[in-house]
Amino acid sequence: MKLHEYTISQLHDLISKREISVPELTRYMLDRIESLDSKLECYITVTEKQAMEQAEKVQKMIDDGTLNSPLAGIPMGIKDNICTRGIPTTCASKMLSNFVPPYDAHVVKKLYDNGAVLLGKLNMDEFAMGSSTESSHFKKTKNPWDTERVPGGSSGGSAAAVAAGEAIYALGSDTGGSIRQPASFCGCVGLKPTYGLVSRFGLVAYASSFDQIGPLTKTVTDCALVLNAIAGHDPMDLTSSRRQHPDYTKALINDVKGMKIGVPREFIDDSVQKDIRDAVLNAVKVFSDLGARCEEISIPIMEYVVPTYYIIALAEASFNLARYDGVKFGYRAANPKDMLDFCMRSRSEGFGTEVKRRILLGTYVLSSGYYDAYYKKALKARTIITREFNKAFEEYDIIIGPVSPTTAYRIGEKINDPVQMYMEDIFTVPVNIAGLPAISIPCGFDSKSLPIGLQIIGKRFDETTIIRAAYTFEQNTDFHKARPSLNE
Amino acid sequence: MTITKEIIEYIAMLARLQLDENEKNSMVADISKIISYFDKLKELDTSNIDAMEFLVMDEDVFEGALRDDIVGKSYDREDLLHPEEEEGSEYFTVPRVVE
Repeated sequence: MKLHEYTISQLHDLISKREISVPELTRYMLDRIESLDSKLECYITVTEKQAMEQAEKVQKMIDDGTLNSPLAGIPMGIKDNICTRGIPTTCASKMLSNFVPPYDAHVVKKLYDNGAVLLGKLNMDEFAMGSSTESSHFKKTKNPWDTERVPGGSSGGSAAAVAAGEAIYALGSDTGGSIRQPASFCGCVGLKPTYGLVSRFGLVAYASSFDQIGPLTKTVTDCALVLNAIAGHDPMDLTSSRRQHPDYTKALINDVKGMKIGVPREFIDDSVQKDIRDAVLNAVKVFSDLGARCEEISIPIMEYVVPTYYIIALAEASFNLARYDGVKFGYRAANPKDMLDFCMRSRSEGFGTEVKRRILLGTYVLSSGYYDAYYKKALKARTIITREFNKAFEEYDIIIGPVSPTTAYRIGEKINDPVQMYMEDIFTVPVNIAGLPAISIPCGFDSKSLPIGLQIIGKRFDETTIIRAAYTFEQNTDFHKARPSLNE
Repeated sequence: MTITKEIIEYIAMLARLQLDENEKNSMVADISKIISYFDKLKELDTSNIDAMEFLVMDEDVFEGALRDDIVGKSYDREDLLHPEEEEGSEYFTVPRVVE
């Protein structure tokens, strides 16, 4: 096995036993990025110099005995909408192509405190607006399983880098599925934590009542390790929860006996690609055979979740992105006539098409005369959706289903049909609407050998149960062991 | 509701975006399709439903969130200004607003 195929826990062992040093491991990963990334285009910025300096520093602290974390010395990548002090944070937009944050995001600081080594910043859809990473201003990331296909999005660079071994793990952000859907397209593990569990201080805001940061990893064990490091209260994020979070590695228990699992029939209907439905039903069988009680349930509100999500998300996006006026940071138009021209041209030249489309839609649903019909109506629908999920959780410990109705599609195949693209977020957006945690884990392959993801949704702040179910599934199946060949 | 070019021009102005003719035409087409998809929500009965219930998803978030004002560390001015255009300046630079 090669170094990039190891998990966090395996590399931690090698580092602890002095079988490899942190600088050696970091150099190996940087060389791998150098040889592979011209093909896959996962990274927007590779921080070679800082990574090697950080690696030396971390190795010294390990040698001194002043640093003892399972993440110490493990090389990772971060989605380019999470602020890193002194390192460009572009949001894959021309607007922020010259933005160098003066501070680290809370999660970045937490990872540094744990001795993490940053390899670079990962590609994404512009301002996290998309499901294929095609709306990036800079490059189109390829799916490591088939380089003609998209990696999913918006955290497509993060998922592709983990799947291809260009990072041992990565952070992404999930507003409507942006961690889980690329994790499923690329065959890795992706967790969207409960709203409030992980601080968003330093995450460039898209839709603030939905945004969450979470890990993308090779295994459920690695996911628990990274979540342990990034979860917890932060006074800089008003929505950050004050409750003590448990040690998530304690949830790595291979046992689901007696667990009550709901399978919504709306998640496995004809709109879902047949081999995805088969893989999900196989997962239901795996859980049943292991002693869980699986039952079909109904969540009738599902047909309204996509419009509800998009109306609220785009309304929030339109005011979150109002800050890009050319003054305080970001792109500035040349030779402005006056202040209005300066603001309008900076925005129009700095934003790409999908971002403009979403700002216009958000402005429309908030504008006088349409506010009640769209925005307020969607907030009320949000209440109904949240209540329906909470009601299901009165009887069931977890809800399972697919992550996406399709597997990875061809680059360019759907980019010109926004309604179709939005509709495919159907299984991921209700989780953000209700503020729930959910994980995507590998559960099979389609007829073209592309990965399929299983989504496990839990109660608010009950990451423990979804990690336990995901770990049990992983221990009893082999899907997570498959790696893309990449013609190496 | 039909989305016309005039509506697109109006909301573009509100959003401080300038669109060329091609962009306007494609936005009319795309946004019409998306808004008619959003219109599906009109079928849903939302009478007697609270629009703000999601705000109290987690009451403990707000407990103790109000705190005394404390002086904290600020950022270095030079880190915040644009590196090229505002080199050596103490302020953000914008086009003249007052004649």
